Amino acid sequence: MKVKQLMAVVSSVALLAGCLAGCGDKGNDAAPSGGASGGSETSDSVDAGDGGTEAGGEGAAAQGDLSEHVELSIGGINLANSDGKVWPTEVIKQVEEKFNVTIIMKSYDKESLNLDLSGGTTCDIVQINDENIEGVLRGKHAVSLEDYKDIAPNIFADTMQLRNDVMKQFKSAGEGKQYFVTPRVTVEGAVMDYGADLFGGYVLRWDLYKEIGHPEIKNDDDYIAALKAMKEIYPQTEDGLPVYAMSAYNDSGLHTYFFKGCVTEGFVNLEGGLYVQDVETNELVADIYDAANPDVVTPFWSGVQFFNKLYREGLLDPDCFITKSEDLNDKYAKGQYLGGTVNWNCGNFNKNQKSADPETLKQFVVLPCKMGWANEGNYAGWSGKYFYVSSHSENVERAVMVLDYLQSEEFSRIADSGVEGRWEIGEDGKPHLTADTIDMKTNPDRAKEWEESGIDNSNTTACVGVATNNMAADGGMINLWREPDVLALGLSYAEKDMCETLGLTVPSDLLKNGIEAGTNIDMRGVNATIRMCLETTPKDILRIDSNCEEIAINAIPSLVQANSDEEFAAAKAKLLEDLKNANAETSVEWWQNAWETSKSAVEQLGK
Amino acid sequence: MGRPVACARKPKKDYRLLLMLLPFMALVFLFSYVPIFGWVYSVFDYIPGVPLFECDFMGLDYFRIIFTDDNVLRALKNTFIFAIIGMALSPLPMLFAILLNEIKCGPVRKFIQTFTTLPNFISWVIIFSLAFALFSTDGLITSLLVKAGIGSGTSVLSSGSSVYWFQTFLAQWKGLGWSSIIYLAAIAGIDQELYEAARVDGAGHFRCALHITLPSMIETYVVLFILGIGNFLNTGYEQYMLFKNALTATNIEVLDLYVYRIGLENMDYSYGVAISIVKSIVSITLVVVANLVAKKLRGSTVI
Amino acid sequence: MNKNSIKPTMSRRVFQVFNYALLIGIALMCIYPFWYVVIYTFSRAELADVRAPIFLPRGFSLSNYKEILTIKGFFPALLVSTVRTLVGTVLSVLACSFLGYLFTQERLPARKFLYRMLIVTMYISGGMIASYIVIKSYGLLNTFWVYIIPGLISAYNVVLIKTYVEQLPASLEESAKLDGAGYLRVFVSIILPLSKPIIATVAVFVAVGHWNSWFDNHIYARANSDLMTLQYLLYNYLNEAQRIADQIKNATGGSMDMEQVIASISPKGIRMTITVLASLPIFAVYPFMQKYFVKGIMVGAVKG
Repeated sequence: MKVKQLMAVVSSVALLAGCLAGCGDKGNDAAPSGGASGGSETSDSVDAGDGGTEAGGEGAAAQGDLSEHVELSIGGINLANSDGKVWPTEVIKQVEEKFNVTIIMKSYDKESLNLDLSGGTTCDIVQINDENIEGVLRGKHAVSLEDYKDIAPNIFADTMQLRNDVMKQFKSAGEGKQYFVTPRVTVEGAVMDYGADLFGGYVLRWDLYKEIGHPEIKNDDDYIAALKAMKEIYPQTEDGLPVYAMSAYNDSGLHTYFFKGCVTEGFVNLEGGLYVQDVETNELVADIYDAANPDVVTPFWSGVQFFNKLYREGLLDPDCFITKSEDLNDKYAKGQYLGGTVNWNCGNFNKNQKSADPETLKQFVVLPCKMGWANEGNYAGWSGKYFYVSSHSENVERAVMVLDYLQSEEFSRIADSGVEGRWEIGEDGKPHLTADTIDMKTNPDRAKEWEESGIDNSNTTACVGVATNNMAADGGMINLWREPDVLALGLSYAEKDMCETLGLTVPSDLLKNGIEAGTNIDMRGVNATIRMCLETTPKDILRIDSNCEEIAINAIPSLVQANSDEEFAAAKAKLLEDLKNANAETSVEWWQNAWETSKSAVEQLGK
Repeated sequence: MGRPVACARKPKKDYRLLLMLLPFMALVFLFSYVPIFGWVYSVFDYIPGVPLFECDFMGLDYFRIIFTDDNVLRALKNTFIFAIIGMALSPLPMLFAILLNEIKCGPVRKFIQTFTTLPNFISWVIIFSLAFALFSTDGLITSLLVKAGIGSGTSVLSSGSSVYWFQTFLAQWKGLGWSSIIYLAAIAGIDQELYEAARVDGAGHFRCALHITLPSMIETYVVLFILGIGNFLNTGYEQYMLFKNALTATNIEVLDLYVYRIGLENMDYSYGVAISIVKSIVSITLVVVANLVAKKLRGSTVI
Repeated sequence: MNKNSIKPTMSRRVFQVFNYALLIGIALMCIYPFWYVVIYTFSRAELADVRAPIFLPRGFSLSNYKEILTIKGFFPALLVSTVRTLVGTVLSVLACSFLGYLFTQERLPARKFLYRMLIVTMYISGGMIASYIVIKSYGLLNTFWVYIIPGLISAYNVVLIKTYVEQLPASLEESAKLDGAGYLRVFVSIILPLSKPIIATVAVFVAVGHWNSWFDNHIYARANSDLMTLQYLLYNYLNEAQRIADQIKNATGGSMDMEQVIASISPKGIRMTITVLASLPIFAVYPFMQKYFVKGIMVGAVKG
């Protein structure tokens, strides 16, 4: 008996020991950082990280060595997973061959990024936004790019000077070193244009708008009148579903409202939309808590008023406060909306109608509001999207080389316009997209092929260094799709009809003409660098802001559903009161100061 | 640790049992107790990526904030309402199991048992999009109700006042069949002789259910109930996050959702940890109290 | 039908009718949403876009399923999910039931204390970052075993099993011990067979938990694509829309042309199809497990 009882003990120990042993072995095989095993429970993440850096340091001895094939991961807040997608695309394959690497892309959400930073287990190349800059710098997670200057000629190109200065001065915790690069840097000499069409403004169903005699739309009231007339001739869909003017994408917070206001009033928002920048004066304006500026109509209030008018006219979707972006996709596809503030969710409708009848007029088109969301000069690159090479990477050097290549003009062209062969140098000595490439994009039967080519893949274009409208050395734009001769080729039948009816070459000419006539503006006057150089928001301000945002979101229904001006005024007064109680004034004061500081620093930089 | 000398009426302690238990408890220690060192994050202003001891020391500031934060109060109120409704409905799975046991036709029973567990496998994201298809203003059910003359045509998804019962309904719908599994197992464990004997005594179905089936499940119910009391504040956040909108926000934001929101949007990780510590303390206190009450009522502790 | 030897009374009949109606009603309520998901996956995308199906697919198309099968990583993910479910369930059920049995033993020193130590783990957590650092320092990060070991002992399941075992007639165990059987012997030859219903229940809980789990994949094994589970693949699809909505929310300045990005979200049909495929195995297995629930046990028979 005793033997049996002993066996009971032994076997239960063995069960566990087996498990643990098994995991230990696996751990050594698969865990990339040597510091992982044997550390004490509370051992700090950075210890493990240092091991990784040393490994990278050894690699640095053999400079520019590409002989060993390695796997590189690029992870980012704004990137999507490559798993389960068409991957690697033709564009990515080119990078892989050039640097003898396998590239995978990982999407970070805040949760997983925080964990990876805490554990020192980030991807080789990481893209973060402003929130994590402090953690990355203080935790020494990024390598100083200047240490690798000789293998990073594109990052340190002369055209990137301003960007690099900004990174050194404002994104280095005062060290004056460069850890980050930004994507999509606008270089002097970039072409000012508007593409073929706009994405935000007065969105309309072209067929119905034409049917009511395409009345000119100069402001919100004209637009609402047009929508109303359109609804009269199209009160319900062919399937008998009710038709509305539009709805909101509530999963993006207040964006529906302040973005509409931004393009109507001429502002550009900061993250979250509590503060906006006047595109003409570059002043910071408190968007919602605007008690100090009773004369200025800020984007939020402009947008909310617009939606309130829609509501009072009976044009607003009663589900306006519960729809998410995806529900909008569905409802647009069902033909239940006549307009919108952005064309993002109209894709399925346009596609379905086009495939049912290539010559359909049932397509959404965009007419400009006062401001066209275009031509912002991001001379220091896009803000809120900072790339760095992880100091925990086992292949720091290779990662730097790849990041440098992503920053290059060459790769920017490839990502936007396809690998060489997809475009060719024509007789005029300039690059042109081939007819086959253009067909591939517009022909629905070749959708798969298009996807595999990786051209204009949002995951790749988010990483490139140079803005789409820059001129490349070969005399073509970075994004060859924006060349004037190509623009008109990509138009749908409805858009062509629109151009014919209104006497335009491409739909965006409406904006161009307006700007020439002085009735419209674009974003060329915006100094985006001021936004980028703002100091990090302290936690107490962040807490106030997030609370204010929540209060504002929850106040939207009472504002939009106000039946009279008095009701609206009362709801507004209540919201302002609530914001005041939530210490909005403290936040406004901090932001104004931070803005002034940043503004004068940027002016210094320019000198 | 335990008493070395066994009480006279209790059997002698056998340390081989302890030896057998140890490896398992070691696992529990390694994976459940060691991570508690994370509580230390609550007294720092932790910034992910920065070594903990280089972060600002906050002392008990975060705990103080909890008690002055109006949002916590509101979230607590909602959590309480959901939890109390949940507790009131906690016998439903047991009742469902008893009713199911009364269905004597095998295939029908199997059909019901299998298909009522289905909703458990549909994720909340999909459930939300189904709910939107059915309950939005143009939704199937909303328009049916209007046609039948019962509904007002407004969507239940945008009604702040229906939040509590509607979300409870969804949660029950999703979990009822699944939660009843444990009671079905308890029924299966009943000695069939008991039924035979009762029938011989002339007991009908109803009396059998009342005097045999129900009592055999009560023990399981009580244990689960007491464990559930400890989860009073742990409602999870996924469901509420998906159904939250401007109109429902005030009523739907539970504590877990609030912690999720501040943790991610404000990067207030440390504050989140502080709240979770308070929650742990409350949970354990509640279980201990419930256990004591059970002892008073039944003469023996459950846990 | 021998059970119905007593003639059903009138009230009994009324009850039966009511009971059938109620339960079948509940079952139908549970089926419809799933049915909706299923017919959606068989509908032709452009038709389902315009008008969602109600009872039957709109147009018939297998394109969603074809698309899924060509997703790189679908089959490896299926394999990982299957293996972790099998290994995890077997180990966890064995460990939990043995532990549950041990806790019923009055002779276990410090029994109450240790049991309570276990229960407490249900209510405390050190937070995600601490767990992550702990898992990392054990060397479990990005290994298969991170799916199995941390959750091997579930306090909840131990409680269920202990409660059940305690209700078994003590006489059986005692007589076996008098016959000289050790703890393990008693556990294997008496407790396990008698506890089939609860073991089956716990096995179903654990298996479904493993099958549906994506969170451990998300936080502990994200970097290793070879360890991707089916549910994590699904999660990535389901989460796409929210991720992009968050991006828009936090966007500023020129980088706002989201038409492309939104168009890159995989269509609803694909997500619903993965939902269907991911729940199929549970259907294949669950009905078989049911026989352990519904078969009552004749304790007397075991005794004899």
